[in-house]
Amino acid sequence: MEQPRDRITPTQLTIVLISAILGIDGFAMPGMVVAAAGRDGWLSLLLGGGWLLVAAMSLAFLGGMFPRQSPINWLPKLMGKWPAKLFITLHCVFYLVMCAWSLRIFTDMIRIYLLPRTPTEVIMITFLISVAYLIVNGIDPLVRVTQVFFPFTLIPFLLLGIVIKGRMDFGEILPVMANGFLPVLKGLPPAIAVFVGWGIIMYLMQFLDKPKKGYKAVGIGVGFLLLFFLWSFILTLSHFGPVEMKYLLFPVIDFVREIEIANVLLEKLDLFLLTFWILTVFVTVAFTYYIPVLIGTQALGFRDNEGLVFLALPLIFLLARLPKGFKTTELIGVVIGYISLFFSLAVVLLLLLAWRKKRKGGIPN
Amino acid sequence: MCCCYCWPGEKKEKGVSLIKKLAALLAILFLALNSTGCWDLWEIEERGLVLGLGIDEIPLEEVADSVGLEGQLQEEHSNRGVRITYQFAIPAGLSGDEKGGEGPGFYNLTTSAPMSNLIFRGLAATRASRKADVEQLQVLILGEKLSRAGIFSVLDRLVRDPNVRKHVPVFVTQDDVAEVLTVYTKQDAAPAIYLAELMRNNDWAHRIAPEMRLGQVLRGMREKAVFVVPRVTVGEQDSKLAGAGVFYGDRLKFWLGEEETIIYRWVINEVEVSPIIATLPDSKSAKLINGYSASRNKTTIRPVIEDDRLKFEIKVMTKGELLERQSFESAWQDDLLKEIAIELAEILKKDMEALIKKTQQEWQLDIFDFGRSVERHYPQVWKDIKNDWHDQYYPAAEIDLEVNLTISRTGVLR
Repeated sequence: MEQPRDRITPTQLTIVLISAILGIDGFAMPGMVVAAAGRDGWLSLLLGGGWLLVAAMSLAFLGGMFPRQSPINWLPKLMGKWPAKLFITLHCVFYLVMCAWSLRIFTDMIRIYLLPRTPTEVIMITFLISVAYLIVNGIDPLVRVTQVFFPFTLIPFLLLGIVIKGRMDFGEILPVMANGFLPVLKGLPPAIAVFVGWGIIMYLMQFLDKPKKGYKAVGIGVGFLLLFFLWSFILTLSHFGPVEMKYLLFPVIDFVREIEIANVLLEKLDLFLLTFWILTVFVTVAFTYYIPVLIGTQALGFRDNEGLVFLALPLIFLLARLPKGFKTTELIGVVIGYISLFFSLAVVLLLLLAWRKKRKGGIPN
Repeated sequence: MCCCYCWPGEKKEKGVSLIKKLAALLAILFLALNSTGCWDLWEIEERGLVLGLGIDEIPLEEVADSVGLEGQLQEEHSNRGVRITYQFAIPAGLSGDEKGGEGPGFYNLTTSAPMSNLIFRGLAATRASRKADVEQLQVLILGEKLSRAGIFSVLDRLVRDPNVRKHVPVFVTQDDVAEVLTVYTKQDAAPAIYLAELMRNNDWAHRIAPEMRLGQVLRGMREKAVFVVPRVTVGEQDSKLAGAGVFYGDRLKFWLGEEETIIYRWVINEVEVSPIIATLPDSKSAKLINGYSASRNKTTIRPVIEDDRLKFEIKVMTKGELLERQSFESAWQDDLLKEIAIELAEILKKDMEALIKKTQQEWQLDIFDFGRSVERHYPQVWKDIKNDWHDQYYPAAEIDLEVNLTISRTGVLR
């Protein structure tokens, strides 16, 4: 039996990034961005995504400065011992909450569209147990599974490449900025929130076998996602128009549902979308579950993950069951989005700090 | 350390405790039993596939006469009554095999109640043995009475349901909705399928208004926009799909005639193949015609604001064949063709101007969505005028229409 190698290649990093970020918020995103920014939501996406690209690459640079070292080692060198401990603890809690939230949204959507009568607990527990089983063995199997799933997760992309005949008016994005720049600003929080999950880069950089190439991998991953979200926004806007999109809970699913090719040769494609989407959600939940466990294992000096994995399982399950209704879940998502926004600011500041320190006198490695 | 990572099925080393084996077995059993998804098993034979829905409004007094509404617990919760007709599929009859049933491939169930679509599910289930499955809905037919009173309250339940595809074509009719769902020809297995297939002719027969899907209707209602829904008229042997109903918000306002529908499609640039007919000027005894079939067309609309006046510049470019010429004289001469083209263009122009004028003066309703082009080009102006667009600014707008028609071929004769 091979020992896990604990090394990932830059390509794998890109794949992981795309799979982990895509999926949770992507379906509801067009509706939320339109509610905030109206037709100019695509500008919010462009700006927000651009900013996030900068933040993500900053994180990759930071990780690259300390090759093969966990943030638990290098963060104190930048921030000091206790601020770093606080930061990492908060981050750990954040990912636990995000894992529970992702699981909750996934369960809600599965119950609406695919399995209306199956109990929530059944869906959640079977899902969590599968994820736990995967995580117990470390980063290598996790990344390999993501690689295997990746071609399937591309299928939703392909589905969105099909343009519906008739009543698709790409002119819906006009007039641009009719109400000035304010709507674009208002649209920035939901536009950045859709990328939530990008912070896992911080903990994955330590496994990269070519640390200096990390920023390229991250750049490609986030860039690809940005293009995809932009495209899905424009497509759904062109089909539904800004007024109706505000009311739709999941515009992307509704859009795919209405694709009909060659008059009934291919229809109900949303089933494919949802089925393959399950795979991306699996990856998201897996990574947001793995990161806190990794942090805990490294911080507490355990030898392997088992203990913490099984400790976190009921915790995540309970957290996922906590929100009473969909509105609460949505609110948690908004809060998570804002935290992600602040995190991106913090990261860029950290990078600047690190550069300054390096120039001044080098950082003890 | 190795044992902990053993995959089930591999040779287990000595030392894996009994407890661990039992736990693994239990986990596998638990997962396997749960993954079959028993809760959501709904076999296809048990589904009542609903092919078509027809909804119309009836007076509340008539509702009381229908079956099964005795013993109301409280006052009616609505002051409108609705009659809904389900068209259930009988799969054996639909298949058309010799082995399949001899009967029709469908049956209709009509039921009425005070306005709430949600109640209908229960009512239909008291009479139909299979639970209704609306995922296969092919058509939705709205009656005139309901449409004039407002359709939003009825349609809301349909669009909130995640199972209903917003892709369903919608029709409006002046006849009895239940009757529309009984007429069909031998080419199709059920009226709902017949109508859905008939709708597909609209890219060729332009007397049929462009397809209107449930999602588009919903969008039109939300935006309080004007939209046009194809009209179906029932006959003895078959139904006719031609003309349209013009909705404003969620109410039906006017009807578009068959030929008006063709012109409507010209204006909104939804013409693929369409005939234009002009009378020969020099025919002595009878009115003979030149018939032109358009094959490549484009209509562009551009608003222009000059000196506080709004003008729409509409340019129509069309290219096609002369497919009918009721005269022996050959049409294979350039100047003759040009003359015919000019005359045909004149006819189209007059028709288009007449329809636009009618919507401006008689109806005071912008059915072509010119307002949207104003919003695109002059967003600041649009903000001020959009509330009075239909009754004030649209009727006052000038129309500058230009039709450019080219005859490229004359069929296979000179």
